[in-house]
Amino acid sequence: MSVTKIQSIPTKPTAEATLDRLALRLEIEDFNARYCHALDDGDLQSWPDFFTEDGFYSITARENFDDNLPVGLVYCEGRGMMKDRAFAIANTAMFAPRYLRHHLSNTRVIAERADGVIEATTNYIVLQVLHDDPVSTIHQAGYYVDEFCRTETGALLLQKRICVYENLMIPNAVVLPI
Amino acid sequence: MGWLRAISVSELQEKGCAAVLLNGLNVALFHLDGDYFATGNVCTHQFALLTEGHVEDGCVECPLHQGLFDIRTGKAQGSPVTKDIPTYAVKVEDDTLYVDTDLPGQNATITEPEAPKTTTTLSTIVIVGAGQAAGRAAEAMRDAGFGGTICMIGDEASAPYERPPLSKAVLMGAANADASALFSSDRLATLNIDLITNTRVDNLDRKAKVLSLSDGKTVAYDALLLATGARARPLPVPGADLKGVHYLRTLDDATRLKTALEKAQSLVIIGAGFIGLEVASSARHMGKTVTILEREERVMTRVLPETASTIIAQRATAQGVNIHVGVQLEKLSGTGGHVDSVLLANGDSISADLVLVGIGAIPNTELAQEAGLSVRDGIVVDAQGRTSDAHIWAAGDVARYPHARYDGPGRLESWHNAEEQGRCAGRSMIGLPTDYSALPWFWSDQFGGSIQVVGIPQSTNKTALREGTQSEGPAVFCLDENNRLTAVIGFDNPTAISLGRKTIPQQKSIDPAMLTGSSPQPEQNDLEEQESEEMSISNRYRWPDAGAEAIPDWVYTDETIYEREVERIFHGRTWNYVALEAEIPNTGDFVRSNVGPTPVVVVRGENGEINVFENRCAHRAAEFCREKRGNATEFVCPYHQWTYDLEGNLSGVPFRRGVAGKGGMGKDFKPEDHGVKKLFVTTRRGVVFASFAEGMESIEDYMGPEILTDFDAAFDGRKLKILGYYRNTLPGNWKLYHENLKDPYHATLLHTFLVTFGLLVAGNKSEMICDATGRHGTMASAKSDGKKVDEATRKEMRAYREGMGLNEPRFMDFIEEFDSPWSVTMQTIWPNLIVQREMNTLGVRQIVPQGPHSMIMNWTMFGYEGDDEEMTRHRLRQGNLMGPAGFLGLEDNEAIKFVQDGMKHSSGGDHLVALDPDTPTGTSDTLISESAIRGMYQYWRKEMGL
Ligand SMILES: Cc1cc2nc3c(=O)[nH]c(=O)nc-3n(C[C@H](O)[C@H](O)[C@H](O)COP(=O)(O)OP(=O)(O)OC[C@H]3O[C@@H](n4cnc5c(N)ncnc54)[C@H](O)[C@@H]3O)c2cc1C
Ligand code: FES
Ligand SMILES: [Fe+2]
Repeated sequence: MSVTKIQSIPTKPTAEATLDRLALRLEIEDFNARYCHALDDGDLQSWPDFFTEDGFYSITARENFDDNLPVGLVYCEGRGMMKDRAFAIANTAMFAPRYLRHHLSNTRVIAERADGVIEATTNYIVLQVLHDDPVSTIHQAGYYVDEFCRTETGALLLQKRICVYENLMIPNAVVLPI
Repeated sequence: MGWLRAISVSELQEKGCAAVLLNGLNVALFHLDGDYFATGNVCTHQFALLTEGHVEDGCVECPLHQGLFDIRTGKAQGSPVTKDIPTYAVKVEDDTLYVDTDLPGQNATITEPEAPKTTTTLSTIVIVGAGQAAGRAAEAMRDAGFGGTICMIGDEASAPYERPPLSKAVLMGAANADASALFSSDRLATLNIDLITNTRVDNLDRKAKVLSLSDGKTVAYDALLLATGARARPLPVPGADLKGVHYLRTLDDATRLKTALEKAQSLVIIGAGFIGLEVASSARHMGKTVTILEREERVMTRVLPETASTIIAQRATAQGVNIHVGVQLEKLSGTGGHVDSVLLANGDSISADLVLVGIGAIPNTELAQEAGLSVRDGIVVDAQGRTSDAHIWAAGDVARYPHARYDGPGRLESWHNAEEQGRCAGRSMIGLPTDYSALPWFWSDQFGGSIQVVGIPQSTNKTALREGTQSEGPAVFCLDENNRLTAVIGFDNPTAISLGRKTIPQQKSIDPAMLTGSSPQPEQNDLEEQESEEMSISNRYRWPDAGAEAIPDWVYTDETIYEREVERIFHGRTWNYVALEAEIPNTGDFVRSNVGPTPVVVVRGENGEINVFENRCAHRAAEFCREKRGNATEFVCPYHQWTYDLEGNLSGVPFRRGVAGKGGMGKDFKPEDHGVKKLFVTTRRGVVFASFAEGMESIEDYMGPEILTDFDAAFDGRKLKILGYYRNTLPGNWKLYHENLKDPYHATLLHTFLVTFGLLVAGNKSEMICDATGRHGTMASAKSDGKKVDEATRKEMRAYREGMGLNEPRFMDFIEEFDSPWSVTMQTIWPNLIVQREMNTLGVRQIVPQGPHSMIMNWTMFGYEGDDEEMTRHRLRQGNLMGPAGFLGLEDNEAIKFVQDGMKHSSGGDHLVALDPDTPTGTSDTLISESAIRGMYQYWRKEMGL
């Protein structure tokens, strides 16, 4: 399912509809700001909390996504697998120290489905600095393909996030979630 | 080399440890309990940067195989590392940490491979002289566990101290006597030395093994070290005994000279050696008028070639020192018993408030001589420091020892020699093996700069001068008649010195023009490139003497070697993986791929056969196929529209006959001679291989039966279903990937994940299988299924799981589906394929080398056509183990990068692959083995003709 094929929202909305749409977009941007903070500066162990219990998360290349090839560099079915990954990265994995910094833009709500699920995409660039290398490099550049739903209290949660990266090559390794 | 600014203290405090490059050396900096330490940053096992590792309890743990080193001493803490890392001196000034990579750290001990402990039965060791060599010898004995008596007798008032500051900092009042002490008072106390000061040893009775002291006492010894050093040579002219005539050897001398100098206006220095020049420098610094009188025609005749003398004289003159060479002294004259002028043979008279005599040193050999030991300008010793009497050793300025690298024995008067030879003698005396072979090194700080000498300039040497640059001073290279480097004299030129350190021991011929070339920092590479024209490759790349257990760095870093690999291996007699048939099921389906670094197109032809040809237009070399994959009926080069069919034949050339009878190709142009280059192709069970070489053996014979079995277990006849691709760059040499999968040793050490999750536990069956040639391998292990595991192992697994609390254990499940005793097989199929069967997650990896320092990995993950949705998902979930973000995959990629990093800027050397010597090469059933790596290199060397 390529994003370009997804219907865009109709033009010429009412002022009220426009406000609603902008409010929703801001809500998603706010959600993403907290999500990125958890990954860049915060507690990696809190990353799974951005997802529903049976949420899905994967990171995959554009080449796979466009051809409906299902692999993920990271492939998590359910919050349990995300917790295991967060725990393993923090406790067993060996990798060079680094900083990551997410830069997000162009959040776009694609649809609010009848079942309440909100489909959206957001572009991302993640810069990486290895502690022995003076420069920031583009670690990943791509976009999120998201499905949000709401908790009982009305807060947003991800039930699906696919990180589709467009850089052909992974520079050595992807250690932390995108 | 001097103190180099390394880092700001606050930054180091914050980080705990940091990696810096100093003079091309990888240095690790640590902050421990308020103290700072610098060590080498490259692991001594294989190559990895230690700061990428982990610091705990005063030790740093290497990220690769968890080698542990004590940060304070550099000591290797046992298997897998046996060799210590160097430690470097550090000092803090303001908020800055400085490191001197030529001085050992304050806690450094001898860097012997194992630091074995002594088992000597000697009870009393006596050392005559309480200088630097004496101190280091005593320290080495204690470090090696010698518990007997060490008695040290010196005729000076102080405990052992270092002399270099005497002519510099001490003279200028910048340092006091304490600063030059060899040991802190604490350290001295723990060394537990019976130190007798202000006392001379007057006689040595070898028969009775007894010494007579100047205070009338006697001391008996079991073993004796003569570390009596040297004394200033007295001036043999009238008036030398006047007041105001000074020598400089001891702390007392320095204190006296300092006091006198403060009052004086003019200083005449007799002798233009290092001490004379250094004192001249200090005196100029204090604003005195300084004149140097030298008997020879230039300065430093005794130890340096003329080119170097000229530079030194220029530097001194520029600082206002008057230098007179070729001077004959008549006498010193004075008034009231105090010197006031120096009279020359030509009648000139030079007035002087003060005279310093620096005309060389005489070794203190009298004691030895009178006792009948062999003495010839120094006490003659062997490489272990032993004199002609088996119970007596000598070291330091007084010892004449056989230089490993230079003609004939000789004496060295240097700090470094006292330091190292002292230690060696100490160890030798208590029965430990030693062989003194350190590359001589000397430095002299004068006129605001630092002169360093590595090696020993020989009087017969020719020299080559490298001019200074903005950042570095000049350097003089000394070469023997075969153009082999014997010594380097660097004037604030650390690059030249480190080049010397590296190159002198190699004893290889070098074009002097290369050394002096206008390039400001001639790299080792330039040298080697230039040499290669003169010598054949095999002469140039000599395998280390250690044989199969050693792999030299150039195997991984050298361009020439890489080019030869492309030619002989990737373009040679090998089958290279290019694609899976499942990617190109239909006629015209193609993928871009590579054979070695060379781009190729893999396409299914009209007849269903698979064709592989170079992706390079026969016309102007354009890489014409640009899509990663697709379907085509023909390939058209976009530049001039030359057209190729699905077999790579040239089918169309626009305007071949020209236009209106003009232009076009000649009559004899035959399109059939101008197709793109085609490769030979074979397949096995849906896997496509290509080769540049004609007449290759079948792929089955190429793999051999040992490898084919497990290959066929993964490709068991079921049709493959492509699940997707990963691609990553990897900044490491391509062979390191093979080695990683021929190194079962790392599996439980690097991948703690495996152990933690019970995937690989003690008791798992495993094997490292190799083919007969050594080029291919299968790393195999069997996951014990829950029911079959014995009680002890289950306990171990449960213990780990309890600690971890895995939320979703099902992704580690192994669903039996293969006809194989192994649940995991990782196959390396030479030269570019890895077949991964990690339980139920399957894939092939293609290595695309990108020069010696990097490669691309293309991963194609697959399942089988019959898989139901749940099985596909299981494979995908389990895929979290592998790939550039996999729990195991990311660690391998990081480790391989560390290895390449370790080689890039380090001082160079060999890798050690010595595990499991009982299996020299090939298949091994223990994980703790490097036999498969050794086997691979045996094959590689044969293929490379090295
Ligand atoms: C002023 C100065 C500056 C220097 N600068 C540098 C430099 O910049 N770089 C460099 O590499 N090297 C330098 N050196 C050289 C270096 O200091 C010496 O090579 C080193 O000290 C030699 O150590 P040693 O233990 O062999 O002898 P010493 O340090 O001389 O120790 C020998 C000791 O034995 C004592 N002794 C002798 N005979 C007897 C006896 N019969 N009984 C009792 N005691 C006895 C002596 O008095 C002396 O204390 C310098 C030397 C001097 C003097
Ligand atoms: S322990 Fe450091 S490279 Fe092996
Ligand atoms: Fe591994």
